[in-house]
Amino acid sequence: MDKNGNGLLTIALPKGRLADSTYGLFVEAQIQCPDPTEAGRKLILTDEELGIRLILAKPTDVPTYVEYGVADMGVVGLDTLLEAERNLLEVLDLGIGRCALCLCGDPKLLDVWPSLPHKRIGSKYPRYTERYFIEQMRESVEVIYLNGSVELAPLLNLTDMIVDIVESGQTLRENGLVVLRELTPVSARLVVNQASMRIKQERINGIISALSAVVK
Amino acid sequence: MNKWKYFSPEGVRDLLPAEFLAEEELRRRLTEYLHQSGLRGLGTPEIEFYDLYASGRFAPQEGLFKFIDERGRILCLRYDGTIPLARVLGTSLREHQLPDGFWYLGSVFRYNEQGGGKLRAFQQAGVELIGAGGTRADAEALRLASGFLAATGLQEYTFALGEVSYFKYLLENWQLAGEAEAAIIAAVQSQAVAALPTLTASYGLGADIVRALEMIMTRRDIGVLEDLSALAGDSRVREALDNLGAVYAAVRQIDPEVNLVLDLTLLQSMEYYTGTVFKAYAPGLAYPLLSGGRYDNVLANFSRPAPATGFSSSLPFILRALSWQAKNRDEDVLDILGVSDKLRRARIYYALPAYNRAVELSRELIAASLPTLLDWEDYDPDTAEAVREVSDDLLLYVDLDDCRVLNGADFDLSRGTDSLAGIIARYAKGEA
Repeated sequence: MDKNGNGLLTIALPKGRLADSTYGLFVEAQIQCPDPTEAGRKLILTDEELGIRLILAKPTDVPTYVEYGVADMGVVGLDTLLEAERNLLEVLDLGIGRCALCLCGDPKLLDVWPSLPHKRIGSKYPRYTERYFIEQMRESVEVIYLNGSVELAPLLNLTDMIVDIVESGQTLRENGLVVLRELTPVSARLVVNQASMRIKQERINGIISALSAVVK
Repeated sequence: MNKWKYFSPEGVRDLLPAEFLAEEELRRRLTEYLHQSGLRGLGTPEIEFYDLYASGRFAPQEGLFKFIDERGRILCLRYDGTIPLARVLGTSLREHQLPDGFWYLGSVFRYNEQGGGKLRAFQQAGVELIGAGGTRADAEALRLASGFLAATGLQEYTFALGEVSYFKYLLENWQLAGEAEAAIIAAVQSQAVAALPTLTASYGLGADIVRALEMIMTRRDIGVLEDLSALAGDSRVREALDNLGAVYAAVRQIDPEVNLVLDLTLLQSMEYYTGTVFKAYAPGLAYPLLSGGRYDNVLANFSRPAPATGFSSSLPFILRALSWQAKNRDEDVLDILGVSDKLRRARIYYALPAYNRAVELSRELIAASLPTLLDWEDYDPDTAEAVREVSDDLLLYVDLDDCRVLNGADFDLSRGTDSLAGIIARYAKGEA
């Protein structure tokens, strides 16, 4: 390894549950790497002998680290990836962290929402929402960016509808909202930097094929 | 109206003396290389009509810096080097004998690129081989690109070599719906092998299509060209891939050490390119530092149909890759470029009546290869002392009957006819 860590393969993982289940996949695929479940508060785990380094990042930052090349590859939910609009190679669906990006709102809107004029939509995914409506509905909508508890927006009449990830639908139900349309299924993806893919081809391809053998 | 007076707009930056020097040396090296390669230099203006790029959809609308002239026409800043060059070949140089090779080096402006080391205004250099069709031109573009990077002092870089026309023919044969085509192109570009089952299910892709896509995305060996040709059973696909194989072999033959990877997924800008495409990558840079390929349809847009291939590379990207290489060796990018920002110069103080003598002395020193500055202030031992503390300048004082060195610095004059001591001595005696 040289001073810039050129011999190292750097992988960015989203902190939390997804990092743990990714590690599970790595173990199953017999890819040796440091164990993120034992990281404590450390953000970088390096194993010099294996030549591998894990970065534990905020999930929405993973595409940034990989696009800018400070991480060669990373694991990120498709929802985050669609919102980030970054130039990455999306090489593998890891099949974990499954959920869906959905348009949700009051049950009264179930059949009539497409004809609502001047739609206002609250979301943590403003760019994806705007793009979806432009590309799939040929319609510009007003998107209001919210950081969390997006369900509040239609309840308080801030917006007509929301676009958010739905796992069990529990939060929606408890707040009297329903899924109006599933926009896309979501799962964790393995992404690779375009330059790393060519420069560290053999190592990266080794990891991809080991992982693709164990994903469901 | 002075809130922003201390700042530069996003995506542009100053070149401080060391950066200025590095970029200047890089430009010098590239210019020398391009000149020695027997190519013709060509310059185009920074301001163009918007139609230049809009006519062939050569640049995204969002990428152009636009403004309006006094006659209501939309102007834009130069977005690249190739399209203006194609315009010149279709107009002023319409009688120029082709094939010929050209090079350019100048500023380009891109509204939508910034962040991650990308700038909105930067210097770009490129080569265009115009009227050049066939394997030899393809290989030559790649060889010139490799030489271009070598000339910068960069040691480690990898070329990815691909093709786009074979994929256009495959798509033609497969006759898929527009939506399916777009999804497949996106999947191939991002090498999403794992998306194949979903794509197959969504668009009902046949087994042969899936096999072809799998080959394209996963295989990097030279054998993939024959296998894919056989599978496609289309003479146009075979011809395109045979050409790619020939280019690959030719470049390998010239330089067996070259880091060259075959990559059939390089389908970016499929509407623009028509054949062989390539990109170069270097450690420390997250995006290609050089891109090129064959664009046989561009010149026809300017009424001068001709096959063409070429490449371009941005100077800030090269400098970033060089900095990374330097950092690895605990060096500075200036060390790699073999220049120093330690300014070695003389500074002459003089009494006003001896202005003539001071100018004469400066000319002699410059002739002896020592850059020389005439100071603007009255000589005052305190000032000279202050200057001595902060700079490495050789300080001299000259008046009508004296000339002396104030800081005793030991300066070697590398060239010239006289030694520094000799020159000073002659001036001291009032001979000169």
